[in-house]
Amino acid sequence: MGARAVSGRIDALRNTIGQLNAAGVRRTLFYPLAHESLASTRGESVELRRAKAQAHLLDRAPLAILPDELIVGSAANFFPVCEDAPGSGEQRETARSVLDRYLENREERNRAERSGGIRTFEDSFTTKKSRWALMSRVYHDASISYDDLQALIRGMRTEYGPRLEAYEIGRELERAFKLDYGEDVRREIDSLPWFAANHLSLNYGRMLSEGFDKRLADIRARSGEPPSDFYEAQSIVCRASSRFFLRYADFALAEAAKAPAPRARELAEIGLMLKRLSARPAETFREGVQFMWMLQVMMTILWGSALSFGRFDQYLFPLYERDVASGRLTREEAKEILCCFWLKVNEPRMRTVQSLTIGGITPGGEDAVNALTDLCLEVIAEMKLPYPNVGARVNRKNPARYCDRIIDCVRAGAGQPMLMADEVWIGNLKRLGYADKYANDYYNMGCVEIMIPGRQPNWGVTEPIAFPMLFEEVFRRYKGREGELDSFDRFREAYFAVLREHVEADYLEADDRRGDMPGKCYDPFASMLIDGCVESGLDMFQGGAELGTHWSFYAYGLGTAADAMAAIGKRVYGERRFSLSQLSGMLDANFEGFEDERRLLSTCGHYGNDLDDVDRLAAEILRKFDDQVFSYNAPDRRDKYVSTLFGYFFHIYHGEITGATANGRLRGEPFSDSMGPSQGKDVSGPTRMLNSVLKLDHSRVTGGYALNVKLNPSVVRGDAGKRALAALLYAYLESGGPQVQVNFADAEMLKLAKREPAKYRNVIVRIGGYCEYFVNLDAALQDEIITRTLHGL
Amino acid sequence: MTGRVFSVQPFCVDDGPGIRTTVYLKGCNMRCPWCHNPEGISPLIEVSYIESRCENCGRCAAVCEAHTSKNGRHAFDRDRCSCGGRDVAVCPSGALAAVGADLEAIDVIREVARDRRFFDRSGGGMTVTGGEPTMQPEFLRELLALAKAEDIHSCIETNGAGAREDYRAILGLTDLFLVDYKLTDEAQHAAVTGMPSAVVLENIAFLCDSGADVVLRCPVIPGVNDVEDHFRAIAELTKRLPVGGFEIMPYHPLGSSKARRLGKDGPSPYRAPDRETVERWRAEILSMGGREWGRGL
Repeated sequence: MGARAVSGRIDALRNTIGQLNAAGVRRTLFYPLAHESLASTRGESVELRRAKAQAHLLDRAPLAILPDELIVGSAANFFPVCEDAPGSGEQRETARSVLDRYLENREERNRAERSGGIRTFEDSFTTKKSRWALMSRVYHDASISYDDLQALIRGMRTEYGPRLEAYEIGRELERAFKLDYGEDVRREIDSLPWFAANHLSLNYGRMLSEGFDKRLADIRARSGEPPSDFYEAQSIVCRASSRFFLRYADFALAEAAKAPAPRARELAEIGLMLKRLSARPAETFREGVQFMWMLQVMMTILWGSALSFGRFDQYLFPLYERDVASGRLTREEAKEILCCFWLKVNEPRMRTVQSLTIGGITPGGEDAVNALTDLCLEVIAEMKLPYPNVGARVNRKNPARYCDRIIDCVRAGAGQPMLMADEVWIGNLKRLGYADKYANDYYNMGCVEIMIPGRQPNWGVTEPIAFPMLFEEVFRRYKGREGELDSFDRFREAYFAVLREHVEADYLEADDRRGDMPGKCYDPFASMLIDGCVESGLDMFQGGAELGTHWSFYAYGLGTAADAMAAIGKRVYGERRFSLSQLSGMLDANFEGFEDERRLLSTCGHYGNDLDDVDRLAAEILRKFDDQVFSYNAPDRRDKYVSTLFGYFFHIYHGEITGATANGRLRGEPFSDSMGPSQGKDVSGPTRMLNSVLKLDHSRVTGGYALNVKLNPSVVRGDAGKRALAALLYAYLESGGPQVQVNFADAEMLKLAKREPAKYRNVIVRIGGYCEYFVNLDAALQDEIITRTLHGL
Repeated sequence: MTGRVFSVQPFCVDDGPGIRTTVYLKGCNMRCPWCHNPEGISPLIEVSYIESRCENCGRCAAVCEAHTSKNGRHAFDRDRCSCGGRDVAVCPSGALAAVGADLEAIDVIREVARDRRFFDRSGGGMTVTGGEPTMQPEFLRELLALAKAEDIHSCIETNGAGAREDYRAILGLTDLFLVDYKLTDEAQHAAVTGMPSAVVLENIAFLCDSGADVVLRCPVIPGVNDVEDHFRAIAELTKRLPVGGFEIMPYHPLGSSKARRLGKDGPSPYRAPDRETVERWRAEILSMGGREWGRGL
């Protein structure tokens, strides 16, 4: 197949999927179908009811095959477009009535937790204060599109501005447009509850190399007579899975009968392939990708989310290698299959932050980079798609060309892949007590979270900790007796005491969640795909998985916290410009009337500039947090407690509800994100920012890590730029940096930087051989660079 | 010892091989009108004023008579300033800033050495430029000696018109000389830069004869030196001398806004070339047999 044919098919499929995504908001058939089954199984065990409902969903979910695609399986018709979504006038009316009602009884309402709905990862993560829909992927069950909702929130902020806080408007409106599936439907489903696999990587590789027949035989061989509920459930979902393949096979053959000549043949091939795969393992690369994707679609229909693909270039490589060696498959054909897969990940409602991991080493410790790894990088660079979220493991055993191609790929501009240092993560997993074969096999789940693929149940979450928010608690606790904190050491001790309490609260929360699962939570389909369950005869939520849960203690906002700590140390305790109680008053007043003091506080040095004093404070905060989290681990404990230095987008909404901080940040402004410096405050260039980060102790960071390096595309232009980028990233990783991803400042960001220079002092551009801070350029030059950035230089 | 420095900039990728920290020294013996670092020309500490940052708070006017507030707008008459930097010290917004500071060489090197891991990975190091770095010869020599002692790769970027003995003094201490070659026509060179071109050519020959690694950096300014004769001369130099090659530095108007902030001339009369034009120049020099520098590595 020639290159032109490849690009023609892929362009057409890209177009089709783009149209599907633009078709409007979508509802889900999950509720009515799940309800249908659950209503007919009352009185049976939860485990069997779950299995039967899963089978029912798989038997009834509408199928779809898109034009031109080589890999089939689509949930597009399972998530039909909402025909009766409200228009913009109606949206505004709804918004006003919701906000008016909210104003009327705000107090009561603040107390009332909104219940109803399936307890998802998102719900678990959400506190009463929280907003959630800041990112479009989350807002996936509403009668309003994300963009419309954002516009509506902006509009209502103008209307209700002084009476309601920004976060209140956002939160109420985000909740106002939830789709209604009927009270009794929700009650039935919630009564189980419907706890589904999410934030994990199912062992697709093992399943596609075994096939359903063998799996069913295994289940039968292990289940006694009469079979336990678990084995009965496994048998139900295994047979239902096989039927789902057969349904698709029939569907493809029926479509073939209607299609014109070249496509008819493709569809016939697809139909026959699916028929084989309904019973047997994948024997070709294309079958492998098809098998894997079908499992992904099935789990999505069963309400799974954030299902990572794990070590994709490892479990599919044997099939690829065999096909290419035998001459059955060319590299170009394999690439076309991969492109189809990449596009399908971006179908409506399939994008739930799922990662795909490449490179690194094998469980046995050998270099894992192979020809499929290379091909993946090529596809990432050419497709420039937001998902899957690709993590490239970097190991000293990896070949130079791999490291080189990663850089090419990053420069291609999609911000992918992110880079992870094997040295750090393998070492830290071993410190948690894992054997080499597990530690060597890690992958990045969802965004940046470190897990072991195919052997663990869901990632466990607890309330995220915003380092900067803890200052509020210190000030509250010592209100009126600030004098007791008569030295900077005492102040820091008070802060760390609060920090430890928050970590302890998370630990108790994790315990509660764990205690909530026995006898209640089951996911038979997912348990079929997690090692250890069939072997032990237990669901993955009932302790059947080969490895335990990682309970994540999220923390973020280190930059803001370190800057605030530095400001307090310098101005309050060092120079004694004002007392702690005076500072407390300024923060309460949101610095109104204290502009000069605010200026003093905001010029005390910032984390991210290789300044030892403030970096030391950042390191201290991180160390105290890590030590406390790590202290809960014990070698004989199955579950692990891990620290995840990653804040997703919490830095925005937690910032919205937090008062002024001692670094001069005003009430409502965002915190620094994840491990990064305060916004716009890393003004010494990327090398100095990375130097600051490298002063932190990363040896106990066990859950995940997110560090963004923001660059203008001009900086990496040409050979010199490429070499500089490679040296920048690899010097950081080789010096003990755990993870890094590059974001390129796009034209929109530069426009913002022109308008609000104070927030973007860190943006560097490269002009005809000179690097300069964007905000230091005059307006005409700024405009020229914006234009150039728009046109891809 | 101290030297007068106006910037220490990390992560420079166009001032020699690899990732470099570039040290900018004050003072220059040429007066090229296209200068992209006009703050390096004067050896004195200057005050830069960025109008867009000014909050019109009046604090500078209270300490220095050069500043006045007219119709709610701040005006700055540099000639009347004799406050010795007090205006800069009180400015809360950063609109007024001192350009240039006297720094200890050892402190500069400490600052530079912070990026050692990036130098090592990229084959980078320190570049000393200006202004004209040889205008502070002793400080320059100390910086280079310290870099050598610290095992940091060093470049200087010079206009080639420094004193011979100053070049001789740093021969063994400098890993790479980036020497500007601006104009071929002798009269034009003298008229435009204020220095005779013979000095530059002799210094280039001297450096080459002494075994130094030299790269010719050729600023190309449309309407000034984008002419065949000049391109041919560049090509010939790279053929005749054992230099590492030439590198084109296309004119960019970055300097003019910086000049305005120092109270110097307004918009420059040159137009920045687009990328195709720069490519054409390159191709022309290459077609004449010129050797381009491959940046080492």
